[in-house]
Amino acid sequence: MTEHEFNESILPLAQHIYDFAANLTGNRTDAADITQDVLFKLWNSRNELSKIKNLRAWALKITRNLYYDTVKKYKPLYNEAQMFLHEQGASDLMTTIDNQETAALVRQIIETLPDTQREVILLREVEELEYDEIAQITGLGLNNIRTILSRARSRVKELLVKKYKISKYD
Amino acid sequence: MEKTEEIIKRYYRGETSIEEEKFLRAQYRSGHLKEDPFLSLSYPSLPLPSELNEKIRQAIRQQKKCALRRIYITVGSIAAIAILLLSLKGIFPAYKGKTLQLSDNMKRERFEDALRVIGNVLEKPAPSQEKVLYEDKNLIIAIE
Repeated sequence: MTEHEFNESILPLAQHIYDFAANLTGNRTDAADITQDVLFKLWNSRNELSKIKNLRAWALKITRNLYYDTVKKYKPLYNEAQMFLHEQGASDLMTTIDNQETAALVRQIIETLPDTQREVILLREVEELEYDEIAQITGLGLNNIRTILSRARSRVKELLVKKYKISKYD
Repeated sequence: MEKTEEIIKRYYRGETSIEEEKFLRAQYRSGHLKEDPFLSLSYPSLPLPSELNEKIRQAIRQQKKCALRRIYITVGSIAAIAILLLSLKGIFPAYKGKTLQLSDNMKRERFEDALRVIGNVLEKPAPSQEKVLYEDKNLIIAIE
């Protein structure tokens, strides 16, 4: 693969890689570092890329692996304990809640999920990947992915409804 | 509505397709499924750092330059070793072992000596002059 071909076919994936890395790490600086590293790896293995059918899934797999290689540096933006400390603000949240704030709240809750559930949700809900693509990236089985996704979605809904007592969502 | 409820049930079981999930999110955004806040989930695409792509391109060019430099150094080293070996061969010519140079007289003398030795070997020995004093099956006493 020439440099021109790389620029045409691989560099456009940088946005997907960056978004995924930012959602995993919660940190734009680290996401930029991971994105650079992923693109370097893709450049160094450019002669084998023609054999890969789904370059986007391959790039996201490398992103995921790089994230886990440095996962000790990262911690969730929020954990449940920290969220419960903000319970007093929950009533204010109820009165001003709208779609955008709900989305932000859902994102916060997702940050507290176990790594596997979080990455499956990100790959499905944000990247809109098929189950077999998610399987290729994570190494999980198809049935396992469905189970993890089901548990993650149910858990987020449960937390929203029960912990924050958002009655209109009962 | 029944169809949507069925889709939502399958959604929380992880059994929906991407198109069905997009449909549910569209329903939520239009105000029909407020009881499912999970459908509000969205991650806006973040703007790439402006210098990121340029950094990658520069790094690729730098790597290509380093690769070329390594090739030049390798070829140069091989050429230098070859030149060194050739020049050493010129300084130290091939060793020629010493050979014996015989004059014609020496050759003739050595040839005559060889013939004499061969003759001595081939010559039958002269019968010895000896007198037998005593002889039996175990012992012979003789004097020359």
